[in-house]
Amino acid sequence: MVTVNINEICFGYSSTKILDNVSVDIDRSSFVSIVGPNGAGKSTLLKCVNKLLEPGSGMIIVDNNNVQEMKRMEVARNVAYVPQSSNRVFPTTVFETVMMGRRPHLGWFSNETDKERVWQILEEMGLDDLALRNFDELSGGQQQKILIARALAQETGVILLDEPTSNLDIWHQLDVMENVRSLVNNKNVTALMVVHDLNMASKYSDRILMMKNGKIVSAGDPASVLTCENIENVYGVEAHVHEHAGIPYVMPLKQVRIAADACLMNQEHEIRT
Amino acid sequence: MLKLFEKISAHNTEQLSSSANEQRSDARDNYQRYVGRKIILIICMFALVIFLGAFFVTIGPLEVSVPEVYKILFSRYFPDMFVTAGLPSQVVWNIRLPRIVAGIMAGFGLGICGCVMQSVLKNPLASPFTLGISSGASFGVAVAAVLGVGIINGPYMLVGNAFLFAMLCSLFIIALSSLKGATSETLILAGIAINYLFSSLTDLFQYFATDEQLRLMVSWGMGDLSAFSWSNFLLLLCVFLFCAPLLYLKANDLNIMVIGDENAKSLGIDANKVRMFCMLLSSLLIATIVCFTGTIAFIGLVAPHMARMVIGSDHKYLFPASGLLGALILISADVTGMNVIRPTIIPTGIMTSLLGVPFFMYLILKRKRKEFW
Repeated sequence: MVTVNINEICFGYSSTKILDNVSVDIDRSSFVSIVGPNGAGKSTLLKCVNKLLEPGSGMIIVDNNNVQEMKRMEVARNVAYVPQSSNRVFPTTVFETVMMGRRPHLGWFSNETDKERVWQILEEMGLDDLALRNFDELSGGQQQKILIARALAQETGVILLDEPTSNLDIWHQLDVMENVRSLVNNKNVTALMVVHDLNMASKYSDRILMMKNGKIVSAGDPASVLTCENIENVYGVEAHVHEHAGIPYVMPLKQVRIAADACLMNQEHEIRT
Repeated sequence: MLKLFEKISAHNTEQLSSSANEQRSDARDNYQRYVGRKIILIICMFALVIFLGAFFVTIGPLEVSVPEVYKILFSRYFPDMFVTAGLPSQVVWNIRLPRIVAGIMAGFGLGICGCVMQSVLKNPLASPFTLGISSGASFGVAVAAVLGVGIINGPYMLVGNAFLFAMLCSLFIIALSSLKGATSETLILAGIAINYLFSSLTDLFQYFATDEQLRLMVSWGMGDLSAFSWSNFLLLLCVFLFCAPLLYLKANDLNIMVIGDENAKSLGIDANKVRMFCMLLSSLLIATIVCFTGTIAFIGLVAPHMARMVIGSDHKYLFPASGLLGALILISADVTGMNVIRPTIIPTGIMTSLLGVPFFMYLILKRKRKEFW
């Protein structure tokens, strides 16, 4: 069954197109990773899904509702968002941070059931001892887990994650990915994650979308997307793809041409001159 | 021996599992205690404001005994039961009490507005003064004093002009904040620029002013609670009762505003709308306060920081705490200014900074960097 239906989305500023006619269906309780070089439009696509950005044309349907027609609060009850990092001017405690996730369900003030819900989430994720610590004092891995806990507190069917593992060591990368995987398996959550590490995407996701220049180049299960040809075509990198227990692992070897954004800059330069 | 070892290890695991359970309830207990502490702290601050207010009304350049003061106050409501003399009655009822009431309301208002502005602009430097609102009001007063031009004539010309220019400045800042791509740094910079602009304009007016006009402008610019009288009370109270509860209802949204617009939007908060709403209401309250009391710069900036240091960043508690601390600082400073070199009264604005700055410095140096901010 389809939860998120992205239909011919275009997004761009006057001259550059960031998303070019992107269409994709995402099944309920599946873990989908979006990969691709920098500037391919991955984060933009994610932000269109929860209305942080409004696409120029096209339609996004989440659970049979058109996102563009929903109020922001309604979107927040259906789609949660885990940012890459969250820095703040004033300190907030971990409990307060997770409590923010209850906002879409609150009236003026929080009540006991909301607090209970937050405690449950903190305990499930083993974060309850940190409840009174300041968010900023914690390590990157802990912060990321707390942001995931905040998304959980929103009690949505869809969770978007924007490069949640990019600042973490491998232990914490696995920790975050395991957490997301167990949400998908146990809580019927649909996870849509932008991620740079192809091997993490391969190990944990059901499907991978590979993007380049605002288009989806390849979509499917990890084995069909992570091929030598696709990687060379999209990243300009020659790579070996090994298989271990049915999961493809990518080992990059060398660059075979200049990076995609450098390519784009050259094109723009040519157009101007 | 082996059995003993087994026993010990079994005992250990038992202890471990029970301690895990204890830890679970520990975290919740700690949290309950943490929230309880905040509530007690706020109640204490409130009690202290009332107590100090009641105490300060009994001291002043004119010696009036404590029972006499309360006789005077009660005689207003029960005129038959108490008999009071004319002069002390005038002093207590028309000079001391209005000052204290004005001090509490102005301090509270400046504190909460500073707190709200810092949160919606995500900037610890935001305050009515740094955003240029106070200097706008000063300029309004200068126009009224020197040119004799005002939106309303008569005794309220100064107040009316101060209010008008304070609101103009805030509206400019608000308009700027709604522009696309305007960061909170832009706003603070623009505020400081406005501050300079209006200060220079005020200076220009002062340069050409007569002695009498100059005295008026300078004393207003120093911030003085004596301009407040019972006839203004109702107006200030109405604005206060309109703005403060509405702002408090936004406490949850303010908590979220602190983490940035994008995060706020993803949690369902329309960040721009909340910012507009809060800035408009707090500007209205600030303009109303400032036009009666003059420039009292320090409280709006510092009361929220002090409150944050003692009570954390949850606006449900931070909001009242900022207000109460603002009120405490202002009335304490005012009463000190009134009594330190009797019978001369040092303007409130000067005393606030003289007393507040060392206290704030002490808090900054004492606190552990990690715990606050």
